[in-house]
Amino acid sequence: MGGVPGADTYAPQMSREQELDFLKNQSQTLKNRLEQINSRLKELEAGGE
Amino acid sequence: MKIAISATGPSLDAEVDPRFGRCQYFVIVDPQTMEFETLENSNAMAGGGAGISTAQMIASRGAQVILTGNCGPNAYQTLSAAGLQVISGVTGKIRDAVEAYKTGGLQSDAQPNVDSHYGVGMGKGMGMGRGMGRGMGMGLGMMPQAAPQATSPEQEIETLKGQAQAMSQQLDEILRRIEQLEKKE
Repeated sequence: MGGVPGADTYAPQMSREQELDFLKNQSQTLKNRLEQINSRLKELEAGGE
Repeated sequence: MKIAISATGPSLDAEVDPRFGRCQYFVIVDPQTMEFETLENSNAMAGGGAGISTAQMIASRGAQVILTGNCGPNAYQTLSAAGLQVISGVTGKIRDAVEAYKTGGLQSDAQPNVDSHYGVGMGKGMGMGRGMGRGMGMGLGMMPQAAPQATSPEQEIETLKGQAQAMSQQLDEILRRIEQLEKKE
């Protein structure tokens, strides 16, 4: 937090392992949420609430 | 705590950029002290996947809240998965937006407020890129999300189908990237 405009234009690079770890976590999160959504869709399409 | 705001320029007096993934800058502010840093968005001219790349970049900077004009489904899902609170529909100067947030005048979103590819082709080109734009959002955990605010089962079905489609696309992109990385050795 330097407060100097334009002073920080660097985006940190992740290592391959860090990126893989991040992406694997993210994909698992998305898979879980997709399952929840699909389960809710089935409920709705079956005429439940 | 840090708030990241999409900005048209690198200062607190710049306007909030209506685009998230392809905004020109981010201003990252500590709302208590109003100290800030600026970050040029290397994804501003990206061909595709700008929302996800930008979201990962912001998550890696330790921001907990995003203020922006519009946020599409891919960026929204990435930000939510990294535990960030997304507030869209924000306009005006960066300084005023932070003040509005501090006084509770801004509400977080339960879902993206625009479709994929919003902002593609908007704005002026800068003709430069710093590569990558990937980041990581480790250690922040999941943020519970509110259910979609549908008024009828039909609307809820439509909303959920849209979300499922966006998530599937994002998942495909992530799986492709994982495959690339695993092949790289």
